[in-house]
Amino acid sequence: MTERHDDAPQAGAGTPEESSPDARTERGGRGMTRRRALFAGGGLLGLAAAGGAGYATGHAEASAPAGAAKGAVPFHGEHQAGIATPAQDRLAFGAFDLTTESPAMLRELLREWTAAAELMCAGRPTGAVAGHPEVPPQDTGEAAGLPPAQLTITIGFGPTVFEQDGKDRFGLAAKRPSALQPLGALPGDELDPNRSGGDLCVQACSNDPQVAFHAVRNLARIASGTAALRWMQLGFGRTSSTTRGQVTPRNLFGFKDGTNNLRAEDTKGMDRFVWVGREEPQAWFRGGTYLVARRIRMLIENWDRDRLGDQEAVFGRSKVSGAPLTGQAEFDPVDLDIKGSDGVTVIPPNAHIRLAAPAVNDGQHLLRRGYSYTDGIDPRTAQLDAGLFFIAFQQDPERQFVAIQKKLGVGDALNEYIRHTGSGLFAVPPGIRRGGFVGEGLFRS
Amino acid sequence: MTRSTRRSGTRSLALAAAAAATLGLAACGGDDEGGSGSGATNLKVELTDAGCTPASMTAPAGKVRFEAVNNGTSKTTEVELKNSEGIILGERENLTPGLSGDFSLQLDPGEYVVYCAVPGDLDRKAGKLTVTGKPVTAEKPTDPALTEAVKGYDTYVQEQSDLLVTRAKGFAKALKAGDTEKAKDLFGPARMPFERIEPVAEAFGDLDPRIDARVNDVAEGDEWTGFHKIEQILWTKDTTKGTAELADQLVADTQELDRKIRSIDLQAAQLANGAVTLLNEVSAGKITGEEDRYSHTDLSDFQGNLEGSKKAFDLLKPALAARKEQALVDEIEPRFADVQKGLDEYKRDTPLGFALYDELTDADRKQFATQINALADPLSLVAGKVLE
Repeated sequence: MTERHDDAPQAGAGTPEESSPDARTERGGRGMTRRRALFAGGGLLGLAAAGGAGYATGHAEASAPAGAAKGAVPFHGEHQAGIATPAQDRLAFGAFDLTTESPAMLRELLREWTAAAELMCAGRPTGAVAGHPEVPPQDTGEAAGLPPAQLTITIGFGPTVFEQDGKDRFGLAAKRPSALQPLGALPGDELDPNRSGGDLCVQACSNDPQVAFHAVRNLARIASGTAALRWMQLGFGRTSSTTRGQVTPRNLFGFKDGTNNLRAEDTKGMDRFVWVGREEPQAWFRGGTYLVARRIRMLIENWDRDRLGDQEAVFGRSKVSGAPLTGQAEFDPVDLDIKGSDGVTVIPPNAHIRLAAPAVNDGQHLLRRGYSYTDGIDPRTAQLDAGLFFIAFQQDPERQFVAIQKKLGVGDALNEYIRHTGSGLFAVPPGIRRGGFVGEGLFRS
Repeated sequence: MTRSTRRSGTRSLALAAAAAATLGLAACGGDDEGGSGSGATNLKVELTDAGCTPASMTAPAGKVRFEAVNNGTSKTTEVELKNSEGIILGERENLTPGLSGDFSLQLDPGEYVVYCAVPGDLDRKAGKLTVTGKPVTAEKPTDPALTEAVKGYDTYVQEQSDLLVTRAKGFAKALKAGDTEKAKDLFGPARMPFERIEPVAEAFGDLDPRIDARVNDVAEGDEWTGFHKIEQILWTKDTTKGTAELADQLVADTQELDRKIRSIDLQAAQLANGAVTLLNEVSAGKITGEEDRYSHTDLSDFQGNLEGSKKAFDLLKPALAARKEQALVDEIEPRFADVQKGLDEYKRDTPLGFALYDELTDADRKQFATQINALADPLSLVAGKVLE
């Protein structure tokens, strides 16, 4: 057993130098908590040594960087990772309710999450996988020995952080990002409150599903007492390409959707449609973006018995090639005006690609970054509960997602086969500087 | 309405003009073309001072890709392809010297006009495109068994449409008389004929949403009318107040539907696909209780959908038998009976004729969903068989 644990770096070894001295002092008198332990690695190691439990910590320190170097995405930067990052294959997404009223505790949580996220994104555990035998391990351990596989952890704030039932819960209302307004009722909504909303979100993406799950699980554990998971969604396959090098994946309808997605290389487009810029009066939020999540259940059984011609008319694309019905190849331009012999447009008036097209949405684009999901079967009907966990990043949800969804919700031929069952809106603060923590601008006066 | 109502005529049971185009994809989808992505005929035209060359072209029916190139004329900068009625099907504008442009369309056999000029110049000599061969979009029309099936379904649709108008009038009368209880009693039965032929109504643009939209189907700023708006008032406010205008509108809309249905031109494959659509309505809306969320009269709608689906299938049975598809008939038939048997358990001696949705047990809900799948899956193969 000892050998197995040797590979797991210890928290003390891995905790970056910027780990908060405040955290230690603030919490010093409150007994040993898991969260504090994250920042008090030295103390725990000391305890382990004093207890004589022979877990080889020194060895772990030496082996950590080797694992970390493999498939790691840089954690710090102008923007949070997991947005412009080439879409990874797997998703674990958690929405949290804050269970505290204390701004200091919220701040502390963000600090701790940042530290833990940085470790995990480097392929390291959040703390000891095997520490003192009398103490539960700090890190849950299922990612021990696994490379990060491009793990990114993207954290955001829901509107309820700034106002809930008319109340400014944390005294942060004055810092509210301008476009963080609740989405409101949209046509076609069948939202389940237990799969919607949330004060905080954590989007963990990785090419290893266990690594992504591990990230949300450990952040939830760290949050215990300050925030609790409200809902969680796993995604088993990406449905979007966010960089030019990626091929367009198929959704569970078997179609390539999102062919004309924004691409990270299109920096002009990213600045115009995704990143919040100088126009934002909340200076702390510049460089941020807004995440809209929609759990879109597909009525798979019904779809599977729809005839091919209709399926293609619903999307406006050929099923096999992904070409628009007006073209030959996937990336051929979508021509919304061309008519067939009968004088009706070849791309039907209610086709998905027509209604979602920038051309009919004031030129608006989104950065789509969604995942296929399944949650087994719907216990009420024994039908597959599967579909698209839609994620989109944008500069202004009202101008972009909401405007487009108002069109789609009413007119999209696809509505016959989908249900929007969950929804979330989160302001994703800008990237994290070395020594900083996510959303720290909120607490700067 | 179910979600399918949000689609317009292009994808519906009835043969609106555009349905031919989409149906055509299905009709030729069984070959090795891999859907509609390949197999186009390329036609090149060059813009000239006088118009374009060649002046006369031919192409087989199907996908045609036009490539227009301007090698140096400033007297001609656009190309239009029009059908014989002068409707522009495709065009490329602003093709100044050195530029080229293309567009693709799906063309049926016939004569088309290729017009090359500058904007506003209507006096050029037009070129000609002749499209030959078999239409990609039409079905084989002359099987007497299919003709018979379509005729029978036509009659059925007319009958149900007449019944809808009659019942909508009775329902409206009770609403306007302020008789809340009677109106509630008549609500479900008034919907029944509509539910039987719903995919037909979907062909007529916004008529179906006007009659049958649910609250979350309506766009912000749009008016919500029809059965479900009245349902909401009747059941949540327990009054007929505020329904008079809605009642009149409902009657007017069902009458308009009735008029439009008279000129409908159905095809056999659409009967079959409509039968599947009706069952999809059941699984997407009725089994989940989404359809009649205030009155909980979903099981009555369920019966309507089932009957409409069965009717179309029954009418197609002779054609299936003639195509040696009796095995498919034998597979489907008992499955209709299974669903009906389960639904019979919920028949009640009430004006609605059915138990309310709340009474549906978890086990039965699941069983219905499973049975609908078992029925609708083989039923979805019927269209392909009748097209053969």
